[in-house]
Amino acid sequence: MAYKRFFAFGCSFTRYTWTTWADIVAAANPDAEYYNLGEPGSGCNIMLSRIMQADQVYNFNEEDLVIVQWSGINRESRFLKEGWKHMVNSVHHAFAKTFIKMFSDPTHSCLTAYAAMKSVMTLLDSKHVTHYHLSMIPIVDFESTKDEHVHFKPVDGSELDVVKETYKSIIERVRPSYFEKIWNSDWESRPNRPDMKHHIFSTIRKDSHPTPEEHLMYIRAVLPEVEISTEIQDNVMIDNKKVLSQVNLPDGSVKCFVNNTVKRIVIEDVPSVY
Amino acid sequence: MYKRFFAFGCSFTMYHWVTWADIVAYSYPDAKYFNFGVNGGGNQQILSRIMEADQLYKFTKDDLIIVQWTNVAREDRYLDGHWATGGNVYSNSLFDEQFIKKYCNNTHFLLRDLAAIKSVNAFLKGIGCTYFNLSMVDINTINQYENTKVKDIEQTNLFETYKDVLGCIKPSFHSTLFNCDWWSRTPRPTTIYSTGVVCEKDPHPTPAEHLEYLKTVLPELPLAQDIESVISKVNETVLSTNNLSSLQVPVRLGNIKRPSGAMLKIKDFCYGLSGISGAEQIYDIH
Repeated sequence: MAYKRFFAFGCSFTRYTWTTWADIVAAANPDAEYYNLGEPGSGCNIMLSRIMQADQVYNFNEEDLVIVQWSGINRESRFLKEGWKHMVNSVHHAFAKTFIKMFSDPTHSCLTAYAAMKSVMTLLDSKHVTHYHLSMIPIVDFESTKDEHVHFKPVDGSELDVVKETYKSIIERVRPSYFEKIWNSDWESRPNRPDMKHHIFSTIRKDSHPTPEEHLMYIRAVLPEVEISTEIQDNVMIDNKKVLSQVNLPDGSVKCFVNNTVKRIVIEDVPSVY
Repeated sequence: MYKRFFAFGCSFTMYHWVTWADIVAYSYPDAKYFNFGVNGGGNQQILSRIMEADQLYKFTKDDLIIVQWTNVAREDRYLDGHWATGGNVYSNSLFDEQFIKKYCNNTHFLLRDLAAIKSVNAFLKGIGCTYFNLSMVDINTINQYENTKVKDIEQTNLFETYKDVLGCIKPSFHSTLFNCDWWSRTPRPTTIYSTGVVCEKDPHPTPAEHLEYLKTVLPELPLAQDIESVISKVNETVLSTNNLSSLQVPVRLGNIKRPSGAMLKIKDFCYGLSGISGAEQIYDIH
């Protein structure tokens, strides 16, 4: 089907300084106007808010393709004076440790995240929109992903199991995660990482975000509904070479989304969506 | 007519005495009644409960579902096995001044709650059931204890974005009954909270006020023919009993039974972490 618009929502796995899965899907749908409303650090609650706002502004319909890349469900985003601030993981977060210690609760995360997912899915179902749901890390066994581990409180497994069982039909609609499919459930399993000058520490570090090639691998593994031509694959690999061969900057020094074949509208271009 | 009636909201939905939800349930005796109102609950918790309830009960077109939205400046946290629902953050002991200064932003509350309201309405529309939206205070009254409307440009823009969604919500208790001043109506009942605190003028609507509200904002929903006389008696009891306490048997309609068994799997609630559970029983009105 030729979509007229393609909307992508997610975190830094969706919008980054180099080609992501969203740019690849956009390249595969060249006639669709491409909105990448992802934002690094986003949690599920900001995605719910942003998708609902986007529907108010753009009125999703059956000619649209919407793909949501759900992020770590432990995350929490709050809109403050300076804009959205994100609690991402134990290192990168805008919230004080006291906040996390007092208010982080895995059951709260599950209850709110699964309700958000169900809300989004039912909205898009009701509007006959073609939609798919991806994930950065497992949305069920999220405690195994140490990089997203922010909880200081013990987890009552039985309580979590009840919540997961309740939302089983929703959870099943989310495709397997990058962590499982690309990293084989081990963040250390893929050592050949790009160099990135860290935006906080100003030092050069290995970047754990998927490379363009890894995004391509992921899409091919979990989203066979999207046909990716040889030409697109070649263009992604050109980007991949650039990403791996230089020190990247967080402000987007590469800017070569699928070798400059896609034009993306990002959240800053849409003032009516916060 | 309706096979089931689901009510969601805060203490204006489930309280020590009869609320609008009980009046509706009384009027539709053939419908199985589910009251998921929670003392101090905010709109985030309401969204979560509605989605969870559908996962368990599978709403159908034969259901009547009424959601009573509450004021936006609330923060629901599921903590240590309970929903901690202490109501307005600006008067909630769970959140100190530092938290409010650092993390509370009215635009954040609106972004969160307007998305929740839209989500629920789109969801219920898709089900094809009969549904209505009520409200405790007007959504643009950020702090339930102040009659201050939104002025901020960001928030005004949000109201414009969500204009059609907000149009689905019936006028609030606060504006319809109380003329935007909770203490404008007398006499008020006296309530003793579980903490021992005596509330000499409880601003929660009396049974008669709940009926008045329904008749004003929801004329499309016929009520039982004898509802006036039944509520009149209950109202008298509420106003004449000076020690209504959450620890006592609530004043309710008819011969109330409280069947055992959890309604939702995550069943325990507490009010402001006080440890008093409530809010989640099937009420068999007759």
